[in-house]
Amino acid sequence: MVEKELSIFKRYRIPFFAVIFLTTALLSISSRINNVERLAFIDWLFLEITFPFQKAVTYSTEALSDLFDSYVLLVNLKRENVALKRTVAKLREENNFLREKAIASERLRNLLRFSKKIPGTMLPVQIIGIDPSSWFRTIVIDKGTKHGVNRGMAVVSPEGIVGHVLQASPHCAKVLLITDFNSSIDAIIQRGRARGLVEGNGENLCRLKFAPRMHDIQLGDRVVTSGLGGRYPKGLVIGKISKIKKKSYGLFQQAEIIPSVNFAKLEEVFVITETHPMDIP
Amino acid sequence: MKKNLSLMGLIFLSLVVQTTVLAELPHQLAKPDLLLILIVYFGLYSSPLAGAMLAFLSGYMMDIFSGSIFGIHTFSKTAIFFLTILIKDRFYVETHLFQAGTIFSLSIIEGFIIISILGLVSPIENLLPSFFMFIIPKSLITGLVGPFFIALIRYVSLLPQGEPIK
Repeated sequence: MVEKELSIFKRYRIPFFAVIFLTTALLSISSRINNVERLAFIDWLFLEITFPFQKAVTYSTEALSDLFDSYVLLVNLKRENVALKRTVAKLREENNFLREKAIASERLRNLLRFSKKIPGTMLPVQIIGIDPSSWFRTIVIDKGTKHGVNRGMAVVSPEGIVGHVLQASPHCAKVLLITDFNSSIDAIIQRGRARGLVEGNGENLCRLKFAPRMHDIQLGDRVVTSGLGGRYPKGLVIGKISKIKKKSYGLFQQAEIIPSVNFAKLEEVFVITETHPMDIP
Repeated sequence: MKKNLSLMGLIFLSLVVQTTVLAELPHQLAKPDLLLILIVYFGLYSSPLAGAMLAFLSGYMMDIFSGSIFGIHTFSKTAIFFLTILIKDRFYVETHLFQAGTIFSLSIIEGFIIISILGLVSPIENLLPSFFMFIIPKSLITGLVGPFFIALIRYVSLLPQGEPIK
């Protein structure tokens, strides 16, 4: 009988266990269903036992995660750095472009203001070339005879006198700068009204010659065009006296002039295509 | 006894990993149910009584850490254990592909069990979308991880291959 019972149990042990365990589980659901917040002693015990392990694993995981994040962050930072460098380069380029525009705008405004001051017709021109030799001081402008630019016309800038047109072709012209050996302009010292002849010295300076010895010339005196000869309007600034050479004998004195125009920075100039016989205000 | 203690330790370890490392993963990622894999393992390689006790214990421990209705995992995990025994008696379960398929199917069934119990005992409406949103991805990942996890347990010889727990 006992053997038969054991045999039945062996045969049905799995369904038997299933019923027992599943019923217990269902009872567990049923018993807690209306009392979710209750924490049984066994639950509390499990939680307490598991807590330190969870804490340890969580800390380890977080540490690993932080390490991983830092690594990923570094990789991202590298990428971000490259992208930012590109952006900075682009913005710098843009900034330069805008600054250039602002400078150009300011320059053009000055030119416009200047052109209103000069009695006559002024043609704005762009410098497109500079003399490649070291002997001569000439520039090439982008307007020629087709635009009304002819030989001998004065070329000026808001800072002062630049030179005159040496040669003109239909679409461009060569301008002899006042600093060239071959340039000579009749000039007056603005303060003392001493007259003289301004010639280029082949470098970036000019020389005042044939100024009467008895006239008072001082360092820093402004030299302007006299208007004689008809090429340049009267009163255009040539430059400032930087050195005076006055010998103890002779009729004249000489002086060195620093041109008011910075030829290295010239970009736009005016050609005076028509002059009126009046002073510049 | 020693083996049973080792398996309890394994349950404990899996639970800790499940509630810490895997819980740290982003919400969007499906996470494998390590305890389910363990229960399938018990079902395949352990004796019915010891396995049922371990499955019950696993579910119980999961319930302790879970915020849901208490006993829901105890019931589902125990049910999965007995279903595994049923499968084991009828199919050859040693291939990885079969194990993956079994784990995937059992995970789906567990999802059904949980949804059914929730539907019966709590007034939560429209549980079906969660089946597609959570249970299928979770079952897929559990099915994929399952054979490797089982192989790992067998590799570390916690339970020699095919040897039932006495």
